[in-house]
Amino acid sequence: MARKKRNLGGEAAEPPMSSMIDVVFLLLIYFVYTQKEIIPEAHLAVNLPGPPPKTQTPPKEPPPVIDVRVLSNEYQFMNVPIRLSSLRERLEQFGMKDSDYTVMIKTDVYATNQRLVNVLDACKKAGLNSLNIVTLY
Amino acid sequence: MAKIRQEEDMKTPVSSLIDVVFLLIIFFVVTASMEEEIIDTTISLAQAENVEAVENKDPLAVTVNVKENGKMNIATIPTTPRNLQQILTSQRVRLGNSFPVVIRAADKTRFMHVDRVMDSVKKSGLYKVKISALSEK
Repeated sequence: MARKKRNLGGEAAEPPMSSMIDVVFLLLIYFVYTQKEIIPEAHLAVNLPGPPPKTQTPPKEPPPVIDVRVLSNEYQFMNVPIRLSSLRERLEQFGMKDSDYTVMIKTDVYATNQRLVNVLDACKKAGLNSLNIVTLY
Repeated sequence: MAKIRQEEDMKTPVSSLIDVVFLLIIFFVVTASMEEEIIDTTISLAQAENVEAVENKDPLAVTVNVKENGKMNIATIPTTPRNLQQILTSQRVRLGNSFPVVIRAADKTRFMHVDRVMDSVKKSGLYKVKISALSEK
């Protein structure tokens, strides 16, 4: 009898496991639900028109400039309308010649961001890293 | 007596279950990124095919989200071009010109809205921005 009483007393001292499991499962469900997938973001660095860098000795020759226009309905390369696939090829040709070319991307205010990103992406693929954005009003 | 012992053997190992569940919770807490609070996940980014995703983002970067309708926010707090300029100017005074400004614009956002952000960046004395895109590489 004494042994039985001791056992009963020991069982009463145990923590309430079932409630604890409930809470822990609720926490788990919360974290699983609020977990978001990581978005693989690429960052395309561009320069904005501004004051020239302060260098003591100015460069002898200005860097060669490639003029690309991003309009709402077409792309232009050196003022000539061009398809995106052809523009990519032309940029790659210039990139293979010299990666120091500066690309002046003149973007129309009505062009979508995707069209601008297409050109920036093509420039990066061609190895052209000096990218400048100018707004066409 | 034998029956009681058999029932005890049939019990589910609750303590091991809790251990596993706690480990799962710890995993979700550690991997829950605070960055998700900074970026606006409702924005459908433009896609870039050739640029690799950024693995380590600069913690000093100021990320500006621009929605399709032109509304902008920083860390999901709505802002205006003037507010943005003030924020960037104070950051420039504190950190210098080295911190990047990342523009997260939706793919269908017109460039005029992106240009408003760029204008604020220029007015705050900064000339370098990064345009964010969804990396498909």
